Amino acid sequence: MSGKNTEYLKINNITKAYGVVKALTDVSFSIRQGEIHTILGENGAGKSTLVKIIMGEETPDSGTISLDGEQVKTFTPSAAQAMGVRMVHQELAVFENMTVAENIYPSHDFKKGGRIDYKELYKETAKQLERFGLKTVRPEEQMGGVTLAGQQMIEIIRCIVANPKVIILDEPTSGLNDEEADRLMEILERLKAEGMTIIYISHRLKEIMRISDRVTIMRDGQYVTTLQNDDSLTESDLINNMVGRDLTLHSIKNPQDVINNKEVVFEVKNLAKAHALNPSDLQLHKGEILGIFGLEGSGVTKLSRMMYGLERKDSGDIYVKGEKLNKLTPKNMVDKHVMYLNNNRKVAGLLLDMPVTDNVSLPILGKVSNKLGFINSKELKRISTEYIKKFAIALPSLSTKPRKLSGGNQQKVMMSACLAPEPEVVIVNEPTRGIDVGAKEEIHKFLLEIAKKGVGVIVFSSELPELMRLSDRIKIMRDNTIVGEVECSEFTEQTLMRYAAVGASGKGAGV
Amino acid sequence: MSTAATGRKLNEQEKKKFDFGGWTIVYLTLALFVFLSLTRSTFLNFNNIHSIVFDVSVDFFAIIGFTFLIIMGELDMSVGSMFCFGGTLMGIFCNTYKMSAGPAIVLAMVIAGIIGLISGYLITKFRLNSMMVTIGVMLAVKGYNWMMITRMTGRQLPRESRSFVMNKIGNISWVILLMLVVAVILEILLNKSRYFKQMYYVGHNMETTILYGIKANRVKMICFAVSAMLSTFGGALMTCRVKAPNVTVGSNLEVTMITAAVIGGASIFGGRGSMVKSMLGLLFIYTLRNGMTAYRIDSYVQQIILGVILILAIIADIRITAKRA
Repeated sequence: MSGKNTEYLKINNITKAYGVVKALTDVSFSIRQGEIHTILGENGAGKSTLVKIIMGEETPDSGTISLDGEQVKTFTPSAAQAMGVRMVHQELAVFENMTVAENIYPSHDFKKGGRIDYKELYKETAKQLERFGLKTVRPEEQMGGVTLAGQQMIEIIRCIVANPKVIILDEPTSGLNDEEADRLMEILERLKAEGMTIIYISHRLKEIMRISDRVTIMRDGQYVTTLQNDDSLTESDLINNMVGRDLTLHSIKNPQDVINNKEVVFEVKNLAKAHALNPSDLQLHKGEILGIFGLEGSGVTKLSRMMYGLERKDSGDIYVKGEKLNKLTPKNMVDKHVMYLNNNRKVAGLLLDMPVTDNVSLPILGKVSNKLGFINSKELKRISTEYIKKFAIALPSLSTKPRKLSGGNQQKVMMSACLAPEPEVVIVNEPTRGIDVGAKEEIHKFLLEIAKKGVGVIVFSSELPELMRLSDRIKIMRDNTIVGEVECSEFTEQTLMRYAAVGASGKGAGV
Repeated sequence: MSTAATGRKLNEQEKKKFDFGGWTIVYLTLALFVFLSLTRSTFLNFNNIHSIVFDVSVDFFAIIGFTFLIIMGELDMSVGSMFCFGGTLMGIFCNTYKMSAGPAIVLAMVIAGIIGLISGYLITKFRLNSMMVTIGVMLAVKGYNWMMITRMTGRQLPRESRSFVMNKIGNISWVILLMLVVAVILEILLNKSRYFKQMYYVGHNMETTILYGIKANRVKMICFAVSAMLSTFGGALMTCRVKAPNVTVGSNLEVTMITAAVIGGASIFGGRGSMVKSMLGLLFIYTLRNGMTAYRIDSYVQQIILGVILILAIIADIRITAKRA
């Protein structure tokens, strides 16, 4: 390898847990000098935690990282930068009101007698812009006026002018069109030719196959394998390694348990919003659990929020039990007995500093009060106690505040609040995110139980095993579009992942 | 097994509802009363107490909407100028248009309500900072007040339109009795009625309440209107009491309101607040002022002291919030 270090960036036995949730378990692999190395995995596979550790934004519980033989001692962003690691985040971090030149050299590297030497700054910036083929962008231009692709490129240039040893790119093509993405690929190839080591994170298999030298695959916080990208590597290899769980551990729903009820309780027709969601349709039957799966940026969250009226739509209608909703608002949904479980309990869905009873009673205030609005507190207490018992939520008292509870119990409190109004349709969004196995099991059982009683359930989840266990059928989203639907009898992780990562259902190498 | 255990524990703990922290304002006010009656012979005199409580009762109407809003995590800085606005409109309606007091007050409240709705709409629709928007309203309304009141050049309201304020039931002003009744009713509603209780939920986490079907924005808009209307009502009463519209009526009232609400246990972060305790907060401030005057403390020094109290109250608020979190 002509003097090049094969263990340039070495990741040794890294473990990191957030509370009870293990984000990374004993991850070890190495990145070679001067290669483009892709890290691939589902949402929650541990990619972003690993990158955060490399960038010094998180400290691992155990394990070490070394760069060019030198071990990282303190995990801070400034230490990582000093060692020569730079990253381009998925969300752009640009100064829109400053010039392109100032964005590329934010620390004012060009000075003359204590003042900024603009002449030199612009000259140098122009040189860099030309080098990366941004001929239409002028150094003194306002950053805000540059196209998204241009801004992305300028961020990469900002990293490069710092002469880093390693750069990390997180989903750099997510905001780009094909042509722009193509140009980015060319530039990355050139940087590689100049000897730069690049860590690349993306869900787009086509891109990965094109530019990576090697691909490391992670799953459930663990290292799976590192594959050499030679002629024999296929997309199927990648998919199989992303999903290849030992399915004996996770039960898949028995096709015989699939409910065959043709009564439609909830229907989405042509729901769409420019640049956010392509026209989408779905039908939910009584007692059915419909799973919706998509990787990051596929539009699943937008769909879930839009169909509950939490985000504005451009067009499309929602029908609840055959009746069209005139105005799509959460209030109207609740009135029609549709409830929504939020995906992030810390942002919304729970009143973290109010007693558990108040949390459960919030959605049923109308139900337990008389016509004048007076609340029947006995009834309220009865219902909240009932749900606490049903979910076996471990509480010191009814006045305990959710903030003091574990993630699993918080999730159960939120679930109780959602189900206390006895809805006919529930939209649950990541119902078991960040909670322990026991609580997860209870929530799964409960969802299956309410479906059996006739409640229609739509589950949005980024965890395939969860969806395969719960759903009667699964719809898959990619690029803001519903690209396919798989029936329970045909559930395999490979099929579902293929839809999500490639879009096509064919078994061959089709793209 | 765990279910049974939690069930039993719940019942035991539920009985302990007494919350010492919540009674601070009662202790403070009591201590101040005891101290002043022991050290100043003029303090515990019926007329003195009645005059303190009357001042509280007029301001109380302005703190009703203010308390609703602070519970929902919003601030209404326009209460003071809306208070004065009540007097301005009384002057216009009663002097210029010869209206009698009743219709004049109602009309003034309607106009104020519309202004409150507009600021509420702007704040909720465009997610603007309520403090900034209401400071804008404060300045605009204040400008109008000054313009109109200087034109009226201190003309007194007709005797028949203002004397009703001085009416008494037994020995006590009807305004004081009205305040007591309203405070108790609102306190009950805040605890027992879903329409009022939902304000606490909105104050704790607005996104959550929207998710579960509460029209949080509409509730806020209504409360901005209520705040403006009732401030105007209080200001109209005060103007009748001082006989003529005056630009000093209601000046700095918003600061008094924040101090009173916060020492009454409300949190500027939303989610906490009580009508009776806001009223006690006002009582505390007016008693303190009365006592300081009795001790011949310079009025500018009084202002310094009140400023320090506001800051202390805010610090206490933050510490309580942090502790409970």
